[in-house]
This record gives sequence, C-alpha cells and structure tokens, in this order.
Amino acid sequence: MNVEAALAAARFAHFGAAMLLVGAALFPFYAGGAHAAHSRLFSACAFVSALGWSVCLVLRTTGDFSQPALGALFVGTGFGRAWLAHLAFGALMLALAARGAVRPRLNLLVAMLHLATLAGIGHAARDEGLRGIVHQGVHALHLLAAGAWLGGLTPLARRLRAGDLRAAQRFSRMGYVAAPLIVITGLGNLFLVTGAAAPDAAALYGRLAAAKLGLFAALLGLAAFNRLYAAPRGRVALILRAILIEQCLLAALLAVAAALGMSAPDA
Amino acid sequence: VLAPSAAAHATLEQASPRVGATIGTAPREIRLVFSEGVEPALCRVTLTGRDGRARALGTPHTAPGDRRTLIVEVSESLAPDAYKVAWRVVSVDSHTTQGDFSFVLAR
Repeated sequence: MNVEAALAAARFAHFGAAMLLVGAALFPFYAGGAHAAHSRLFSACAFVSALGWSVCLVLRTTGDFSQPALGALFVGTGFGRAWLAHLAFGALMLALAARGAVRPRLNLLVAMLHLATLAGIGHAARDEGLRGIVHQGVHALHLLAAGAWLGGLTPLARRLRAGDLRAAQRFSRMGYVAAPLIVITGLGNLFLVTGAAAPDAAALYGRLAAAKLGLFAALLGLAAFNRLYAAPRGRVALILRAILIEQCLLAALLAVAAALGMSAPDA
Repeated sequence: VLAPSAAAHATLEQASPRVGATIGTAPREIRLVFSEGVEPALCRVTLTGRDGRARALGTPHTAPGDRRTLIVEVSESLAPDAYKVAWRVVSVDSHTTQGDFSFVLAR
C-alpha cells in the first residue's frame, strides 16, 4: 500500500471516529436520556488512526524516523505542534473511555476539542493572521456541525428501536441548526481555500467539493423525507432504513472529504 | 527548469539567482519565493556545480514576517560554473514539493 492510500484510509477512519465521538457525546444534551461514557471502540479507532496518520506524515515530509528529524517535524513546525495538541486530546479521550468516565460536559468538551484541533493542520494552516484565525474557526465549526449530525444518528437509531419517536423530533431540531451551519461553513471553507464561491469543475479539488455538495443534497432529501413523511406517520422501520442510508451517504461524504484535504486546491 | 511534483502545493514562484539566468557576480545567498508558506525546519536546499560537488550552504530560514520566502546563505565563494539548485520544501499545511533549476555564473 502506498503512503497516499494509507494516509487517505487513516484520515477517513480518523475523521469518522472523531465525529462519531462528538455526535454521541452531544446527543443526550438535546435529545434527553442518559449520558454514556465515550465509546472505547471509537476512541481507540481515533487514536490508532491518528498514529497511522502520524507515520504517513513523517513518510510524506522527511521520511526520517530519527529523533532529531521527528523533533524538527513535530516541534519545529506549526502543523507539527498543532498535531501534538490534537494527539493529546485524543489520548485524554482514550483515558476517559478506558476509565468508563461518565462526565457529560468534560467528555463533550474533550471530544469537541479533539475534532476542532484537526482544523489546525489542513489547508486552513496556510492562511496567516486574522484570515488564518477565521479560516481555522470556519473549518472547526464545519467539523463540529458535521460531527453533531453524523455522530447523532447512531444513538438516534438506538432510541428509535426502543420506541422513542420523540428522539427523532429532537434530532431534527438539532439538524435545523447543524445542516445550514454545515453548508455555510463548507462553502466558506471552499471560498477561503480556492478563492471561488462555487466549486470549479475543471479542477480535482472542485470536483471533489461538488461531489460533497451533491451527497449532502441527497442527505438533506432523506432528512426531509424522515421529518415530513415517515416521522409524522410513526413509520419507525422506514425511518431506521433511511438512517442507514444516511449513514452510508455520510461515509461516502467522509471518504470524499478525506481525499479533498489531501488534494491541492490549484491542481 | 521548474519541476514541481504532481500535487502542486508550494510551487516555486520566483528565485534569486533567477531560474536559468546567467549572472556576473557570485551570489551570497539563494532566495526562493513559493506560492505558500513553508516550514524552514523541514526545507532542504542543495547547490551543486558541474563537478557534482555540493557547495557549502547555511541553514535555510524564512524571511522575517514572510513565510513564503526561503533564504539560504552560500557559505563558500563560488567560482564561475554552471550550478544546479535543488529544493525540497514542506508547506505550512504539511505538503511536500520539490524541484530544481540551474543558473550560470559567468566569468
């Protein structure tokens, strides 16, 4: 497996796990119900994929695993220091999960910081000064809003299977905030990276961004179907099937997002 | 000759000595301006003459307040020759690019 493919896989697993952790920790805050500890599986997946990502980072930059070279990479560069901070939150989450700590606010805060610090190492890191702060903030908000949606689907499905239809209503209410936020910050990101307000179909980056928008439109369609058709009629089996499709669409979206962050905006 | 890698991230926009130039005085430093900021700790620049020997250079650093400009001092006095500058840089968003170009120091 080449480094690019390994990095894409690590990014996909890492973004996915980090988002699921945020969404699951946030869910009881708006939908009610008991708070749970962080999933050990997802926390471990997030941490292991981060370590894999780190190895790819070394291979793609210096290719040198000696101590001075690692120091130059992880301490001597801005993205290296941002990555170390991100890893620290990952380790903290893993520790909380291993202990089975049910500390709702702390768990949510750590999961959010873990996801948000991913904004410090991508394309947003290219901008300096105020533009850099705005860009990283927009990117962080995008990740958090997407995490709230993606990560909320699993606990929602569990709640529906237990016959709690009100959870679906509350999830939609959260979606009314998250969905516009995802679109606005996504387009804001696109503008800040490429300087254009719409994807450029001639560039790979633009095509990937357009694919994300298309998948997201399908996702909104399914959400609307649930909200306007299935939920009012109490068709739980139908909602659950739609949620499963939503999760598949989100996995596809995430795969595109993993590739998007690796591709050059100007190539 | 500019030779950016396939994933064009930090591309060379400007160089001093200029790409392909013939110059009359030995440069004291090599200045490379990229399309985006670079991390000097991970940047490598080499200067070789026609004999293939790498000339002594200082540690690469960026210009004060400008992460896009990479500067590397030439630590030995250069004799007239055709030189190749090879660079490998890591951008502030962690993408690696490399390339090389030549210039001629005339008598």
